[in-house]
Amino acid sequence: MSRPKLLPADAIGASRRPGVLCALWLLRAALAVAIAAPFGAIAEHALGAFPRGDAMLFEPGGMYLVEVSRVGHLGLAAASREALLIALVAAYLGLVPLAAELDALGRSGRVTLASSLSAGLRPLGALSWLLGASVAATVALAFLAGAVVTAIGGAVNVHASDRTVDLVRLSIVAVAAACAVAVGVVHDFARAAAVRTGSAALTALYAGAATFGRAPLRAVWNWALWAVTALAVVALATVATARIGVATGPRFAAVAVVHQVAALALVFLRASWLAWVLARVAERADASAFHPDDRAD
Amino acid sequence: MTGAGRLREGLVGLALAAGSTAAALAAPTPSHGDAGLAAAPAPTIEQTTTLARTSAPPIGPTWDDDAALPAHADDVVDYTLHATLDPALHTVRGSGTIVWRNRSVVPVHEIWLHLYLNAFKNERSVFLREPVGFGRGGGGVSEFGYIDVKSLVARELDGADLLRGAERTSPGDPDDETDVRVPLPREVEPGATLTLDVAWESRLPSLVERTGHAGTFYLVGQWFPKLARLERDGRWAHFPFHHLAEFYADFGAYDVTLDVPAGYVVGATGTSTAPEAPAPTGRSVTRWVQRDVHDFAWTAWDHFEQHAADVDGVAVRVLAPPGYGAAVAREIETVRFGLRRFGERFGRYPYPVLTVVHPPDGADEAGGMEYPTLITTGGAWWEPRSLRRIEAVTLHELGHQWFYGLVASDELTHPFLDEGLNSYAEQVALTEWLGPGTLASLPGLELGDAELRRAAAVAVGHDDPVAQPASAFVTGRDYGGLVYARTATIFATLAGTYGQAPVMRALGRYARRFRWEHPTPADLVGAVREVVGEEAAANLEAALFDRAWVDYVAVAATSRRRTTAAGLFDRAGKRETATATKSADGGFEGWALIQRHGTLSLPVDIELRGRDGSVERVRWDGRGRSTRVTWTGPSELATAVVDPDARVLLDEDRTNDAVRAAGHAPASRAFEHALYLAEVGLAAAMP
Repeated sequence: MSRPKLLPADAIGASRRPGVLCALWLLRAALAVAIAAPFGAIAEHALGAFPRGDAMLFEPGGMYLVEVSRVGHLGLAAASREALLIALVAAYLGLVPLAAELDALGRSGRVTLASSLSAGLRPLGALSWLLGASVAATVALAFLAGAVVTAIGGAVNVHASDRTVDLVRLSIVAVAAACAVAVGVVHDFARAAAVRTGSAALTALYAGAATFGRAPLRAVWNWALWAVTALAVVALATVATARIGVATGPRFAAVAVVHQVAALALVFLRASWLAWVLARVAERADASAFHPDDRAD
Repeated sequence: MTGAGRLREGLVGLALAAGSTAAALAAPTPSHGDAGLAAAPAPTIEQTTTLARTSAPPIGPTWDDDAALPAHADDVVDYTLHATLDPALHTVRGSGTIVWRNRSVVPVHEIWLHLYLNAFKNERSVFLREPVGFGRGGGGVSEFGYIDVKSLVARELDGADLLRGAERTSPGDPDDETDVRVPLPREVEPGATLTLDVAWESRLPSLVERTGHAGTFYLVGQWFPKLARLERDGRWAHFPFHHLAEFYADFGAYDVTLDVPAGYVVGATGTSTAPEAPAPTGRSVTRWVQRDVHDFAWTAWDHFEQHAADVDGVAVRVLAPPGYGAAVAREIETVRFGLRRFGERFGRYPYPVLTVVHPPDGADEAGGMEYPTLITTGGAWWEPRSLRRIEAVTLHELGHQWFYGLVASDELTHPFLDEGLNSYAEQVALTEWLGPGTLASLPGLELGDAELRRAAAVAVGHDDPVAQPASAFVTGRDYGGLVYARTATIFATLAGTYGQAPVMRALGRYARRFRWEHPTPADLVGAVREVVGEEAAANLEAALFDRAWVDYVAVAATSRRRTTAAGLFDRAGKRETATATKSADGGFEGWALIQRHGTLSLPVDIELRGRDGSVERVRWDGRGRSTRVTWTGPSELATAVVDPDARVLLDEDRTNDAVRAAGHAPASRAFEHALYLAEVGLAAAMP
């Protein structure tokens, strides 16, 4: 099989674990069902009596989309709160399947439900601390960027055109975003180290930072490739499904297929990135074995 | 100006701070001994309703095209002004002459001056006191402004100094200085002229409600002492500057010379002509002339870039910040479309110029406003074409050249006549031009402003009548929802029910007949009655004045196999027992029950659909409270839908317009899309 040209060389390793990827996709889909069900129920209650049913939601102009939002706003607000809660819980408990995924990608051999559960729960403490540190660092970065945007933007505003001011602000946001990406990449390196070695959070963080420090630009570049590819998948799916439409049953079925292919592709892309991360962590560990002074981790 | 879309939340602080009211007029306080004819108070809501519902004289098909359009307005008041801008102090010093003609049928003993910059003088003004909730101007004023009249002399009255007798505050309000009465020492007979020599000094506030400064950017509106309009019956249509209200004035000619620092680019109402005197060193002097208008506004900024285009002989000039080339191109494109479409529909645009001002970032309060031959728009330089705010705002403000500029209805008393009609005209034109996604056209999502306006309209439909003075609305939400959205939705409903062509022809007849005049709601209803019919006019009147509403509900649908009648029957002196037997054709019979809630009676279609896909449509006149539509067909009745084409946009709840004989269709599409969105969201949220 030829490798996709844009993806890093090690990324294709994710395809060695199709069962794991499918399991992750199903897990995410199950959570998504819990989120989507109330929205579907609201639409059914509002439009279920119409011959065209909820296809009216997608009509040009948005008459029934707006109407269902207006008439069902209380239900939609409750459903949105529930969706947010599920997402928050998933953002934390997702550490378990992440650890299991890293474990599966980082070794050969058979993967079972029991081995996955064990691998997923073992580093939960370390991964929790790492998640907290990453969130704190990202929030701090966001505040810092906001303050700088306000200060510099205000100072530039006096003399420059709107376009210049906006571009300066955008540049600051871009720098902050790049820093946040770096935090995220270090975080992933640290997670991989924690799962691979079973080390504590601080040790894993040091290992992650050290791995990142070996080739930071390469790491950020590869993350960016992964992220852009993921965005491209979502954009392509959006454009394709908009063109297909949902006016008839076969078209709707085609849209559903495109959506799930895109969802599966996102799982694969994430896994391929994690495979690359695992490879770099392993490389760094191997390299440090030849340099005793570098064994502090 | 644009309405609900531009309204933003935020309480307007009810100003409770103490403070004496300084004199609006620099002259000594006058006595009131020679007041002459007492000022008529502004009409109440009840009076407004009664006046507005008086039947109007017929218009006639003569006004269906431009042949009968008058060449010019009846010239009532002419302003020849000279104004000097001082950017260091944000002041405008002005002087000039106002020539006014008593066009009424009674002698006049007083004049009324609108000094609207005093709305921003302190927090005791009517404008800043009114707690309308949210909207333009809701952010308050960071730098206060004012207008001081320094002298006011009437030539025909022996050079009398009119300031001596002038009142300082608005009638019945010792704190507001925006609406002042000036008694005349002698009466001015009907048809006679009064020439006033006036001098004043204004300080412009921080940009608020379409006037003021933001950095070195200036939008200067309501900036000079302006005469209120005298109605034919001798009643002065004067009013303080209310937060939600706009303006009302007589037509005339403006000749205004503007003196600004060199380097400033100026845009203004009218055509630029050579000034009478050369500019002093370091200054730039321009002269602007326009007849047949009822207001004058201008802008100045030392960073404007100028763009020009010719649209069918109209010189279009766009003033925008540097770097806004893409937005300017869209604005010119919009103006090109709008001048033609509105011209065809409501009479040709009569002026040789149009200036479009795109305020810079931070001057948002200046955006989305209309003045004669000058409009302001808005939007970011990077705004993608798939979002249509630039087109929507520009077309809306351009439409005001007709519904406000040329058809100069009273914007305080009947705000729906300009904002509402213009919203409808704009949304129809925008849809014709851009298709259904008039607000946003994204992959898989096309949102229209008519659809959003409909939602806003039904949300506030029971709060207040549409047809009431702007000052009577208790919140900006009600004002935006009723004046803009509900009026547009009422007309869209009339168009859906009785046909868009006759409704547009009625509006065209109204707009042409009352070009350069000051029509009332009765004139509008009269035009609809003439062209669309009595039923449409009655519904329009009820919807505007009586908070009339409607909600069609599909209550029940059922059917069964057609059978002979069962039971006991007395035939030929004998009682027979009959059992039900299937009819020979094997068909089904049934009915659907449709109810009409509310006070509007609009004809509507009802669609019955059989399980075999057969469709039958009937028309219901909508006059009764309910109707039962019978179904006969080869299959069972599956669904009944009232108003299947969604023509009655005023229908309060569209989700109850359908009923199934049994069960519900699953919302599989909504569920599937929500599922996919959740999967993408979880991909971002999960580690």
